[in-house]
Amino acid sequence: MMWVRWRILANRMSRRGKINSVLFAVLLLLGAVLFVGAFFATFLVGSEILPDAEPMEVWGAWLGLGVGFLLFWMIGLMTELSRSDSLSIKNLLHLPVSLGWVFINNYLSSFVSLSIAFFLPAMLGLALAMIKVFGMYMLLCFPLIFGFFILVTALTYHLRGWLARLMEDKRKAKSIVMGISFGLVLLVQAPNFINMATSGSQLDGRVKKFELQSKVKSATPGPRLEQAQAELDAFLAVEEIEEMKSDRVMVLASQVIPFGWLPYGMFALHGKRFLAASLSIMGFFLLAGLSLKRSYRTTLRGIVEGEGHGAGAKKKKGSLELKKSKKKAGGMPFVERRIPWTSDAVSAVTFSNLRSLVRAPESKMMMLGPIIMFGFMAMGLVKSDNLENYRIWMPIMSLGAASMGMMSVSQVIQNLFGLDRAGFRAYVLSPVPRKQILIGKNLASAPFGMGIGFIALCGLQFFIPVDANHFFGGFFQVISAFLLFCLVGNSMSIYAPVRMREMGNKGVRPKFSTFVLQFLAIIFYPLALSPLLLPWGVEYMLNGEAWAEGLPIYLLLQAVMLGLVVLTYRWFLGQQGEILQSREQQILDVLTRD
Amino acid sequence: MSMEFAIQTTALTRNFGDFCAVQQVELQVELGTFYGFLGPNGAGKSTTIKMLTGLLAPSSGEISVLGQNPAVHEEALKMKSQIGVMPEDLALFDNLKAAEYLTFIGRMHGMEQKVIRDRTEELLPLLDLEKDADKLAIEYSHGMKKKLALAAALLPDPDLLFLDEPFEGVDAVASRTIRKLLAKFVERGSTVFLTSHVLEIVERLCTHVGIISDGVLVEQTKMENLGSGGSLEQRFLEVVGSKVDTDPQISWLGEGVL
Repeated sequence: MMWVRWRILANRMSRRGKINSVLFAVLLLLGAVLFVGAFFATFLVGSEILPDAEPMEVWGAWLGLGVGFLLFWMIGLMTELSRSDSLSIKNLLHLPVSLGWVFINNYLSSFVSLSIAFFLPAMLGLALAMIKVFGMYMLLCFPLIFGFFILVTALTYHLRGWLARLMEDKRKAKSIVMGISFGLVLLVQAPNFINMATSGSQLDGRVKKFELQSKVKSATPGPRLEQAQAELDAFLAVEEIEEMKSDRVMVLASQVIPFGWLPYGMFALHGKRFLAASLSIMGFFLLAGLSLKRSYRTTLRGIVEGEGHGAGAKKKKGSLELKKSKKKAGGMPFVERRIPWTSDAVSAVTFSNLRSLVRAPESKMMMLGPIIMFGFMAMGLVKSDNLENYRIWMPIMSLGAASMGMMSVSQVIQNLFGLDRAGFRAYVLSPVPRKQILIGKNLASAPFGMGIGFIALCGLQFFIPVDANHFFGGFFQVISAFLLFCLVGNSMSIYAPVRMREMGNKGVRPKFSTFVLQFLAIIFYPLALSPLLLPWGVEYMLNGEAWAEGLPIYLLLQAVMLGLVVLTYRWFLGQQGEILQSREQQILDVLTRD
Repeated sequence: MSMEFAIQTTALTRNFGDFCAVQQVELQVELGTFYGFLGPNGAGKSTTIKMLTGLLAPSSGEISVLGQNPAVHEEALKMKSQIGVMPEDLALFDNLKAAEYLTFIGRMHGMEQKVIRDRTEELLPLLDLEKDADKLAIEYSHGMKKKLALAAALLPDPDLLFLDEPFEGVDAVASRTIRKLLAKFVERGSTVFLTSHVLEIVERLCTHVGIISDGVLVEQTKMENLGSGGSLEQRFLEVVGSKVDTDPQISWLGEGVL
């Protein structure tokens, strides 16, 4: 089993060319140095710091190692789930081996991971340092560490087995991978959100403390100094109580959550509370055992008896039929709709793409970027004290927010055919002028691109209300920005297409030239948008002119600018359509290459 | 090039780096014929079909499909409006249902909404896809995907149909339906260009046959002309260079079983 896992990894690397193989070997070497380094680093640093460490600091060090490991472990798990060649139990069952043997071996081979290879030596180094500093009773560190790893691997193995069964349905598989990615991004961003949300109160506390300390320093000896000192002492006492409360809550949390039993067990050992530490160890092994037992039973039922494809599937079918009949009763099916003043082919491309995009888990995942960005922006605006000062900058702020939003969904606009994969053949085989395909694709991405722009505009209007002239002018500005972005995006889709992975939201190994072109497009896009700031500049220059008084200059100029952008878009589109037809076979090759 | 041929190529060649996948192929497929294009794995069948349908550019040589040159933009679009294609790796969109995909294909061919609906309602039950109409293409089995791709190729009622391994992974019932459909398609004067590994099917259906081996067209004739030389299988094995008379041998096979 280990050998097969190794061969899968080695073959994957060798298929990527010699440079990748060399890089892989160098990385392995560096990894080995890093793993040994991690052991010695934690041992040496631990030996130095631990003699003076508070119990909560010991708890914090182990919490850091545990959380770090879980984060890396999750990333590794996600990558493993998104690969099609991962070693599944099903691939081994036709061999003359028992299910139990396969199960155990497959579980043990899951220990071969970079996360364990890095964090295990680091934890062992710190454990040895604890033994050296505190004494032999700290030997209990080792079962705690192994228990932690066994629990994590057993629960993951259980989860993987469950997910693998769900992922036999490709539609669900995509949603699962996207859901895990979504959760991981939110998890990584959570500290930023918490920091932004609490930074105000922490800052207030620090300011108050500084003021009280300054008062004490500047006070002359006498009743004033005594009063200032008393105020400072009271403040520090409250702060200490708050800290103790917070520490207690954190320790309690680590007592309740099984993954927290590692820092809690170490914390308990440091305080020579052996019963608590032993309970943590027993808890680890008990939960891991139960998890493995349940996982084995589910595997046995799922594979040998074929459970999971019967009742559930029938139930699903019934509900789908109901949905279908409801749809039939309704009006015109979505993909048959028409857009006024466009050809039928444009409408076909638009609505089919829109339908695909709405269903694709990839596009849902893509919306995470703008959600996080707008979340940060809103938090920044809520915390800002002087919003009035920003009013004059609204045109540039709305353009900035809208274009950043559009760039965060660039996978749809800048790689128009990426999510089509083999479906791009249908475009190559179609008798439709390629210009119409581009228009249809651009219209399909409008709800994403322009929608984000409009949301940004309305969000800013909520925090910094501006007059109708600027607000509605902003709408014209967003449409112009979207059309310009489409022109850049069309060119990128033609010259630098990227094949998207079937699972996940990433491109498959783009060529260096493709990467450079995509990067240059991101730099070029703000330049392409710069003319849209002209109305703002002209309005500023006309400020104070009697004839311009009362005229909605900004709105009018943005409307004129939109007209110019539409003409530019139409002119370029014809050229881009021709180029697309010339390059469609090359694009197809990139999008469908294994 | 002459319009008595649905397909005509001159010195059609395709290289992938140093490897020559298709070499100086001179195909001549008459209008209204059922042409079977055969060859061992990796012989260049799919590469040829890709070049004929505009999915792959040839390295050199000329192509005429229904009198149009796919290398010229306007002619390529005209050609594509007259052909139906079921490519090797299909051309489906993962997140569309069968009826939605057929609607998309029909509209791209400029068909009327009502015609698309009527034909879809005929095609889906005929190919046994109606009961899975609510599934997305990504949830289909390989055989179901093939059937949907065939429905899409037939939908615009093309003059020339390109089918790359249409029977691969398709069940026996559907296979019989497809065979009958294709026979009727040719009977009314359209042309079919088909690749298949199943020699029995080609022998039963096709009026003409071409055999490609290592990128070279080694045989191109009417099916009836093969009659004197024995079965299609025998002729196929002869021209692709297989040792017909040699029994396969594995040193340990047949020793000491039970």
